[in-house]
Amino acid sequence: MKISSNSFRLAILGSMLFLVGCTKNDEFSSQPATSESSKRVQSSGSAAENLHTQKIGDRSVEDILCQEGQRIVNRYPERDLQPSFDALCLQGKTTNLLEELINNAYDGLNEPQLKILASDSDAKTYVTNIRIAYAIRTPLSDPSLFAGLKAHDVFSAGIHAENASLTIKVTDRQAFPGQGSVERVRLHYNLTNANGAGIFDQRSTEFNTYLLVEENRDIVLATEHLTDGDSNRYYHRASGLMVGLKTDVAESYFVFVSDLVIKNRIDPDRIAVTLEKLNLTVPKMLLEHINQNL
Amino acid sequence: MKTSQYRNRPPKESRSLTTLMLACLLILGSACSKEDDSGKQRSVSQDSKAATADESINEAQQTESGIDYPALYCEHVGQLALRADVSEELAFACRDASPTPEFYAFRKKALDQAPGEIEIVLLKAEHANDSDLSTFKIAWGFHVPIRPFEVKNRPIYEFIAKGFTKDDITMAASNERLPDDQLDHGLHLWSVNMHYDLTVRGGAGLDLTNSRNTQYNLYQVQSGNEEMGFGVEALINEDNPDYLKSTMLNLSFNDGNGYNDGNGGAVVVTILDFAIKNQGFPATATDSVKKIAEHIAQEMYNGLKE
Repeated sequence: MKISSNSFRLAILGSMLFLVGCTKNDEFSSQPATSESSKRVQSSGSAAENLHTQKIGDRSVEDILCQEGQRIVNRYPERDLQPSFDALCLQGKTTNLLEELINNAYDGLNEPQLKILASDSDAKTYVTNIRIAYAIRTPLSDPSLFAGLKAHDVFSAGIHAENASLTIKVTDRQAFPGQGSVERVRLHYNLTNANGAGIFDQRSTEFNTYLLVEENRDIVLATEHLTDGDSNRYYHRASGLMVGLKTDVAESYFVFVSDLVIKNRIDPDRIAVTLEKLNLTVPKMLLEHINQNL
Repeated sequence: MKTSQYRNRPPKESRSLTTLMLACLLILGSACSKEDDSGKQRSVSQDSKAATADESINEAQQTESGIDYPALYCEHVGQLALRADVSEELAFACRDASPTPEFYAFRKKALDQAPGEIEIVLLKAEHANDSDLSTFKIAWGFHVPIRPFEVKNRPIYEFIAKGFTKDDITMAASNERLPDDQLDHGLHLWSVNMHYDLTVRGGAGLDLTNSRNTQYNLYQVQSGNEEMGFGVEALINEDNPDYLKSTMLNLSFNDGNGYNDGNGGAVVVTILDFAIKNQGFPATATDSVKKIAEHIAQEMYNGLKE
């Protein structure tokens, strides 16, 4: 069956979000995530508690996310999704980090908070690793409602932060392309201004959104991966995950993890700062778009 | 099994008209379901055993006319020259020119059911995760009080192709009857091209759509015998990326109360066989196929019930 649709742009959105980049933020530590942050703790907020208390069928949201999500990650080893997934689920349990992200999700009142999971650079190889995560809290009563909002279009005109510019163009979109993907969106990223310096930084990715339970729209997982890895001059890896979760108060949280391995950047600080600025802007654009289109 | 009674009673000549009706019946036979006037719920059984009441076979063979129609049917249907190879689907009802226990069971069920009550049986629903392929086999039977020849002028293909919307499924369909001078032989009664567009709304603006083109051909099973018809619908665009198979067989025959004499009603047994790409959504595909079968059954029954 072919499926045409306009749904799950959310995922797309998400993709843009993570892809954008990385970097640390104020309240959260700029240090790479420790093993401690990967441990599961008692939920500290109602939204995070839903992971353990809310059930879909006979399984908790936590079990579904960690079991079905892992199944998708395992199905596509070439997408390099395991590092991102480990940040959210470890050994079948949701991590402390996931709960922290949910409990500190951007809701439009304060500045978005980014969690830096990895940020390091090898001066000999000029390879920079950046892995970041963040979340947004939306008034959507379930994650799938984002579908009709065409979030990806928001970024086609460009994401402009202080001394940083990135455009994300949709080059192809296909609903229900197979293997359980609700929608496949192909994207092209073009970063032209990095902290005041004109640069060349482009990549093509593919974004797929999955329902973790086929007949339930309360929990979705989206994946993004580099499609031009063999020829891309700027990235070894550009992967990401987005988890969409419904809460029991008719809100939806979206958690993003972006995992970038960047080539040939002799000034890793510049790219890190750039990605931070862009990633701080994306949640604002997203939430504003959602609120305007509800 | 063949009946000696029939052999002692040669077919009458010039009954092609009646035969034609029978054929029609087969076609329509595609569906059934519970009917409004009965007020009973239509059900889709997933247990093929529900329709294979072996103990009732002997009883089912007994007819007032003394003719074992399933046996007569299977004796002749394999000799028909068809446009599509449906031997796999037909084997559900006839093997080695003899009726299967399932064929008898569906006949008996059709005769025993209250008017308008139809049990749709999901005989097979298999899903291959690697290939996103789902295969389904569905069958049902119903009885209508009219004789096959009475449906001759009814737009059977329009019953089949009637569009519908139920829950998250919308099916639009169209048909084009082909000129009779394109028919293959004397037992080939009519031919219609069908087109279907199916949309499954997944919520939040998500639509799953597919299309298929089929051809429905109606046959009289035996020369000179007005009481048996065979409808065959199969894909005509074999490169359809979404449907590897979309076959429907409608086997219709006298209910046992007559033979070329204007007596009796008709039993219609339908077999649906689908192999479709589910795109990784097997539960959605299963639900859609069930609803389509229910719709077809209901519309066919509605068109033939009186």
